[in-house]
Amino acid sequence: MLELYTWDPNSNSGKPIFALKEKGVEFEYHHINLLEFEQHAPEYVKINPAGTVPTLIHDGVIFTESTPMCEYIDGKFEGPSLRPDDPMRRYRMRWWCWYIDTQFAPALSVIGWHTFMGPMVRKKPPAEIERLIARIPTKERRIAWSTAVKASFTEEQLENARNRVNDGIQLMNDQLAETDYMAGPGYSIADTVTFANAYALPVSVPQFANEKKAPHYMAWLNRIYRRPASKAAFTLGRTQLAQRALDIIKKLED
Amino acid sequence: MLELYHWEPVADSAKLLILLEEKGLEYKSHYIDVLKFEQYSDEHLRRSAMARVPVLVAEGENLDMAKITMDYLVEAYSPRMASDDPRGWYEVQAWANVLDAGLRTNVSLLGWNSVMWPTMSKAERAEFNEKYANRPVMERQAGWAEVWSDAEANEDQLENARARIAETVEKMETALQDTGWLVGDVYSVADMNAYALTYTLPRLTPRIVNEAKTPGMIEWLYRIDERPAVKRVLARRRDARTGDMYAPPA
Repeated sequence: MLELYTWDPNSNSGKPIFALKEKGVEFEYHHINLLEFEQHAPEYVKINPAGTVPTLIHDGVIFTESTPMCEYIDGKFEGPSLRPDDPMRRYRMRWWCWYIDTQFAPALSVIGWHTFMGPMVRKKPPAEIERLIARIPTKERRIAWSTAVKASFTEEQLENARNRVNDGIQLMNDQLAETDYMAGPGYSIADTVTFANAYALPVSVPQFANEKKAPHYMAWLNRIYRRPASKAAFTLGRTQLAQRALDIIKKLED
Repeated sequence: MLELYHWEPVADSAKLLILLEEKGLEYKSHYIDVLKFEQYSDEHLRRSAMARVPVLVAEGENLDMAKITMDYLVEAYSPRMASDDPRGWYEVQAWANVLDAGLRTNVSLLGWNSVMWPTMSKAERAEFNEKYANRPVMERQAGWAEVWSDAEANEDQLENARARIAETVEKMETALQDTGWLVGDVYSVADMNAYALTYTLPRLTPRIVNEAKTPGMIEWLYRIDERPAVKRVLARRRDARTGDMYAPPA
């Protein structure tokens, strides 16, 4: 029995969806709506006390760290290998996972919360917002949500985040000028993790993610969009993000 | 041959030294004195553009991310000293994330402020501050790390650090009381990783790590202290103060 509790195929939520689809593994998909704060609901926190997505449950065993979860999926199930055999290539694969998870995604997410999550949450009544923030299990996330809700990011924090995102796109572009995929000649978990975080950049930061400034990154995006697993993953999504990705895939198919 | 550029046997430097010794690998050791800012020398910056320590030189490459360098050593040289089973391997990697997030900067902050700084003379502090101010500017914090630390800047940062350490220690204690080791029922790279980050805690945070509150962890620390490989690593210490602290601010 394989169950995945997660949001849309986006960022951390997306990693196991893409990985499972790449492997061709069947699973039961439970959609946790981040926009309605379902990840902090008492019934979900029972499964994952930190209130984070995704959570994978395989034969009763619970997995909550999204990148190690991809290695588990690759090691446990039949299907095409998502990791190179050579240890040094694996180091490069994990270097990209580390970079995306700890450097790139946290910067991109600040921009996302400022422009998207914050304004959306502010539509709710203030008392409801307070209730939702109070039940967040970890202090960091409570700080994150109140900062986003009150729109209290400083201009310096935002500028710093934008610079970091720009640096990241250039770094990916340099890598992809050398190799077709993030960790070498073949698809790997480095591509799973990077794509889950970077597929929408041409829309969210078009000033950095475009044909002129990052042609190799743009060509790689299209290569990954064309993979059958990507289409299968986005088909599970319920947000505008997933719909937009499916529109791009349709255009590439035509 | 493998080469390791490392500082004192604490934290990340200790992790890689212990793993190399436990595996019985031959390697050439180079000491980088981070209190003297040797990590910012042109020579070291060529190995690690981000001025990181430790750096493992393997197959002609400079590996400067300790967490995944451990994964590399597990897979490239036998014995693995880590589970080969997908679930066990997940747990090794998940622990590495949990330990990094909960301990790395917090133990560092606490150790620096409560152990190292008070032992420094006025002249040493002035010299350190001058070098610190003039160090090449590396990667800035960005994203949530920056937002969180800005939000916490007005709070008691040492108290915050203790609270995070306590949360992580509690997770470890639960696992250690269960089987005696972090992953499965054998000593593995997950224990080496955790030991390198926590062996200073009975002295640094005696109210969090002690016989009464964390018997499992104390007993686990004793067991690892006795390992010949670990003894060899700790014997490399050059500055006695680092037995109780961790690392200077990055």
